Amino acid sequence: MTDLRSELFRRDGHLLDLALDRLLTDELRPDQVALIEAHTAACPPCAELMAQARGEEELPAMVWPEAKLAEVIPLRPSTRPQRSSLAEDAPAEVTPANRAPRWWVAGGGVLLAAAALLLVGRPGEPEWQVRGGGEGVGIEVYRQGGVSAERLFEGATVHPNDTLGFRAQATTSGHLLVLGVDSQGSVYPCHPASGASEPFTGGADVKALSSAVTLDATLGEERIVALLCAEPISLLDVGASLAAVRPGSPPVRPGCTQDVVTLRKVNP
Amino acid sequence: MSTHAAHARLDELYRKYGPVVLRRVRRFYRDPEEAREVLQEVFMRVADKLDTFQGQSSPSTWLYQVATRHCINRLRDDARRRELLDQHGLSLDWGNPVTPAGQEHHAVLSALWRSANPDLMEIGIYYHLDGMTHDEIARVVGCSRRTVGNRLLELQTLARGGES
Repeated sequence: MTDLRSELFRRDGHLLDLALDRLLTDELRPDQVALIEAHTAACPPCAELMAQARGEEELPAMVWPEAKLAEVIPLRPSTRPQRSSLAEDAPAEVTPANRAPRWWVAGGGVLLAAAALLLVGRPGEPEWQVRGGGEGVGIEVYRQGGVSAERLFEGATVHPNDTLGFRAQATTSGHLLVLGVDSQGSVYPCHPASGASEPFTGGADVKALSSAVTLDATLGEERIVALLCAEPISLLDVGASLAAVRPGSPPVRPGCTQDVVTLRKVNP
Repeated sequence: MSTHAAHARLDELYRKYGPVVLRRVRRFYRDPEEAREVLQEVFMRVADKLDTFQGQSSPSTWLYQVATRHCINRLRDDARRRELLDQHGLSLDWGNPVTPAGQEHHAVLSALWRSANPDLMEIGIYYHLDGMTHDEIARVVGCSRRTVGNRLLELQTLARGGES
């Protein structure tokens, strides 16, 4: 048996689990890939194994322990379920009495609604950095859970009453505004809670944002949109233009860069 | 590596390699919920060991080994499961469509589980369950081919009733 085959196949001639892993993560050379393809074309069990591997379910959101996350985000044990421990500063407590107003954006109209809240997420890049590697803004979304915080990636599942916090990074300074858009098109402020941008200093550090929000009961797709603009902006300036924004969409406003994280809200 | 860089590296690893680690974990844990739990435990281990990864093997190979070792240790700590494994051998939950069969093989797998040596178990799993060659095991573990052969001989001796 040659070394080439030894790396790819079991002693009984079938495909190694590890070889399949390396194939799926693009770690094999073209000649190795060709060998595997030739084998699976003639081996139903291995072809089935490969098909199963390619169709694996979505990963669960990773729950990093407080001790590890605290290296980059100061975390404090939470004694109150509605209070975020993600932010450096005391986070805004979200209760029915003081949570951020919900902005209904339809045809340019804005409706304050008493219920609502959102989330913010992060880009889909393989590592934390602003989109495209150039100037811009990036956003991370976390779900608070007791003494730990769970990072939520693009496509992650969330539930009503989940409390979310955020971190952001930008290559340049500007004015930061983080908004949420629910499945009904409602737009609401995530950070700052006022719905008006705040100055944000660019740099290598990923900064915890002081706002936290609790999700309402509206199910379906939730998008978190972070905007970094050269001039101050508010939800009223951009709300109506967020309806079609998706990860990778062009900036919704000249002079702004943006990052979008899409979450899926379902009942537990 | 700065803490920020380490954090970004962890995220990258989880997103890219989480599926392959989960598939590896499922070789040991068929229950989906338990497998997902173990997946997270594995990445906790990865977080602890990230600085030790020097790129001498591919990330998939390194994670494959970390996941395998974690599953071995976890199974050994589970008294209820260990009782079943003592009776039936490690192939009980493997579910590999190409798992080799045979009484001798079964005896070796049972002996594998009785071994108190995790390193021996790891090599035994690669050989008897994953079906790797000596060369491939040596590559994954980072030892010599001769060491692999010696370990497998120990395991065979154990299967025949000797001491490991």
